Amino acid sequence: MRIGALARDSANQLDTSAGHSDNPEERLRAIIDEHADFLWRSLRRLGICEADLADAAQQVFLVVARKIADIRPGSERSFAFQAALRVAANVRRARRRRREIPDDVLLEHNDSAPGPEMHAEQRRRRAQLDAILECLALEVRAVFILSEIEGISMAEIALLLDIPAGTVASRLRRARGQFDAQVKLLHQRERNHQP
Amino acid sequence: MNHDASRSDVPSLKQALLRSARLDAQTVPTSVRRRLLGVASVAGVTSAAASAGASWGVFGSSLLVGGAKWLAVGTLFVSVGAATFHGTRGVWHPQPIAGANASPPTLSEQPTTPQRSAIDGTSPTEAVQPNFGNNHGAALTGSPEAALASDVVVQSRTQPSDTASPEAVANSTLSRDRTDVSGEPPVETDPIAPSTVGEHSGVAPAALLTQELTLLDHARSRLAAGDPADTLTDLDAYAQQFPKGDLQPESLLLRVQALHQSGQRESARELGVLFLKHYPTSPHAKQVRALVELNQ
Repeated sequence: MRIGALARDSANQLDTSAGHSDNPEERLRAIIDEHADFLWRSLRRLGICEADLADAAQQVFLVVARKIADIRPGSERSFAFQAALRVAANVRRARRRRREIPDDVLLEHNDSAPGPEMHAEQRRRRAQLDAILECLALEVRAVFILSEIEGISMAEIALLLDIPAGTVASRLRRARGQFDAQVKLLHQRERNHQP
Repeated sequence: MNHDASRSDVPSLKQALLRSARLDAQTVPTSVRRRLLGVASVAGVTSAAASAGASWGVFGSSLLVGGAKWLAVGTLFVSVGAATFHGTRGVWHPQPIAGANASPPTLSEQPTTPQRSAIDGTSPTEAVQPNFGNNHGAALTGSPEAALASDVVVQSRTQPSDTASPEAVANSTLSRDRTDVSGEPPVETDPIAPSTVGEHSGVAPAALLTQELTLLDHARSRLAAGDPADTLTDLDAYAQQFPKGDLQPESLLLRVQALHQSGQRESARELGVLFLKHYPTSPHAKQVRALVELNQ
């Protein structure tokens, strides 16, 4: 997927119908069609809990809607994702201010309203993943989820976040290092029969 | 107790964790999608009216750098409630995003500074600050860091009282916005002009108006019955069916009231401010202004 992903995906970016129309409403509808699912998943993985996800999605879309005239055709997904990062940052700040828990501690997991299709084991892992990801700085978390979960190439992440490829690489390195360390800790705890 | 023999080593655990995320709901729920589409309808009208052919002349490049003038925020905040016009209850509640009680920056002439935080030693907003205009080509034509910093209003620093009061902004009429451009014709000549093309062409205007009235009457009755959630659902349906409806101001007023009643004070205020901007001479302006002031 990564080979040639840049060429393909950047072409996709430019070819989205969201970029073709001049009509704001049509562009917005196209954005929903083409990017809403991705944004939804991303918001969840950026730490928005299930209960807040719909509100967060609306927030993101409102920003996009308001700025639609200024968004360069082909850059809709990039813009929207960066708006999603803002929303996630705000939520994270609020949550931490409320709880006043140091963020190097594994936080209690998000309330995941479990979907019927999720088994208990999966839910448990999902909650553990949330707690681990919560320890990452948001910009590091972003590249991690895009790369390791969404499967997006580094080059495309660079486009999405409008940052240099080198920055993506260094954040990803950090992310993987931190993630690995947390997983090791978790593994140790489970081996010692600690939850 | 962990029954997974396959999770006995670290790499397997890692994979299990990552896999759990891939199994998240992969798609937007239908109710949310429908809601976003409703927003798109409303947004399309007001954004078109305000930006008048997407020319920068209206707001100037100041929109993109510090010292921007902001479009009023969050006006299109639909919220809570059922997925369909017929009142099927959705499952999510008008739960504000954490911190939604911070007052949003609207119409401030000052750029907001991104929130600083001690998290991980860097500011998340700074760290994720989009470097627009960087080597990859900007998503926007200018430098909208400041724009985005204030846009997502949930946690924004409380703004100093708007340097541009809602009244002052409201006095900048829609016609000024529309004509103040580099000669391009406005995309939307009049947000409350009856729609003459599109899905309703061929239907007598009077009949359409009756339909609009019926929808809004129903919305109003739901509000009077103390059911803002249903009201908003009705209004979403209205926005979708009549994106350029005659009764746009009435529907916006109802939406402001419904948001207010359902506790979404910030959204009510934001929408009210936008209403006042676009319909300053409306007979409803007074009511809207009262709600805006109530939610200051």
